[in-house]
Amino acid sequence: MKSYPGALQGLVEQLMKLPGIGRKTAARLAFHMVRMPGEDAEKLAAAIINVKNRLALCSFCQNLTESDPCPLCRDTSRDAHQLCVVEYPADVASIENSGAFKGRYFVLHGTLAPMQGLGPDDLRLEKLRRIVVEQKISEVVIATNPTVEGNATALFLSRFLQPLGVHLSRPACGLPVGADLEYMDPVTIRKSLDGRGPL
Amino acid sequence: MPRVKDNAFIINKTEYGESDLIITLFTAGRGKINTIGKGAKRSRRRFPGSLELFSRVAFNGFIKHPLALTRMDECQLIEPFTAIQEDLHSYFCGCYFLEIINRCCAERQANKALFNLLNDLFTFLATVPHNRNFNCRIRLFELQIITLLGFKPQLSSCLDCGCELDTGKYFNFSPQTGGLVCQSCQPRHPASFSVSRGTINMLNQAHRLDNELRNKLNFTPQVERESARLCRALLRWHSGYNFKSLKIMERYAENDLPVAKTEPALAMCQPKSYNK
Ligand SMILES: [Zn+2]
Ligand SMILES: [Zn+2]
Repeated sequence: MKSYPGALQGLVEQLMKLPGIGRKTAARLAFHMVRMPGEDAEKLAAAIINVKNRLALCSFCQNLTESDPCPLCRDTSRDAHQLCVVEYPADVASIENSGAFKGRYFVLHGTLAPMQGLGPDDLRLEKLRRIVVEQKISEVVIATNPTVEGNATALFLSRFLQPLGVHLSRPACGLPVGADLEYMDPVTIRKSLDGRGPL
Repeated sequence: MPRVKDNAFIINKTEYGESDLIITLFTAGRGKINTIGKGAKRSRRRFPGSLELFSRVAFNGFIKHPLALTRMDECQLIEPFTAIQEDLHSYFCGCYFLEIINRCCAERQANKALFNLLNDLFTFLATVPHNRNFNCRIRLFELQIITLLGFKPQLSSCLDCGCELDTGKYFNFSPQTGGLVCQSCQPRHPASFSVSRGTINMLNQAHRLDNELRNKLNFTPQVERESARLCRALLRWHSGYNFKSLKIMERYAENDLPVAKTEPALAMCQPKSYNK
């Protein structure tokens, strides 16, 4: 393996730690950064440091935020008695983009994924329980992904929250907009028919 | 280089870059293979709901180079075994078996018997409500898988000196030798532990059981405990790996999953600015 000057080698090694980046891509990015104007390089470095210094978890919804509580939790126009549970912060952004939900959120930061060593202890259950009890939540929408892990997690959460007497719901599963039935899998078709609505 | 078309189980899945997935399959004809599904996170046409754990699928791919990842071009769902995710005990057990296959099988070594066993196992796990002898069946599957992986324990004579072992209530099982050792050889096997005669007899017979008997059989708590310990010690020894899902499976049997307590917590950890 050819070796680069120490500083460049250090950058390549750091970039290789990023997901989906191998040695070749890391080297390409590093060479690009070498050619960058000094000002841009400083902005990039500062942006990375800023993210680390300024972002923390909102102590209510566990979403990433610069201020605690986060803007969504502070917003008094939102329905404080509806709580939507999602896997990751990106899911909050997706649901917010749709404009379809006006309540509060709770981010699990994972699912029940035993092969990755993630079990019930890793899901911030005590925080979730406190919010449901103390904020007098009336409905919890469990919006984990409709994958094997997401469904198992939803089942687990529904059992976990049951004693609190809160209304539990799960987003409907069915045909995506613009889909072609011919290419749909049998599970999706069955779920969409099970959950069919009146016209 | 060859095009591959085969039936397979999805045994692992990791995201790769923006839209690709690395999918580990256990195929009927080639054993375990790692594949890359380009654009698999987005293409519902080529991969219609077919890349979920435990699913049996018909896949179509391309082996570019013997050492490179197989390219997965298309994957059709045959049987999703959906009921596994509808029961948490089944799900935790299922994940444990997936992890065994992921960790203990070498790539591209055909093992049709293991493929068939996975089909039986997933069918069993997807059968809810549970049979009375659920845990016993899980132990038997564990033993069958160990045997098909080539780690079958030797339970007749001492594997160290070769003497016959036919007396006594307890035997010493040594994971690194993969079988029993006699009392005088035992000090040379510090990792060995004792296993009762009942368990050894049961394990010796287990290989000869037909399916009807398997459905009826029930282990005593002692046999269940000891056979679990023996199988796990063997797997641990052969793979050199601590199975992550094992801890979770052992800790959360169906009945003692945590549930929320209704009283509020004493300490309030939230900022005061809510609900203003
Ligand atoms: Zn918040
Ligand atoms: Zn001996």
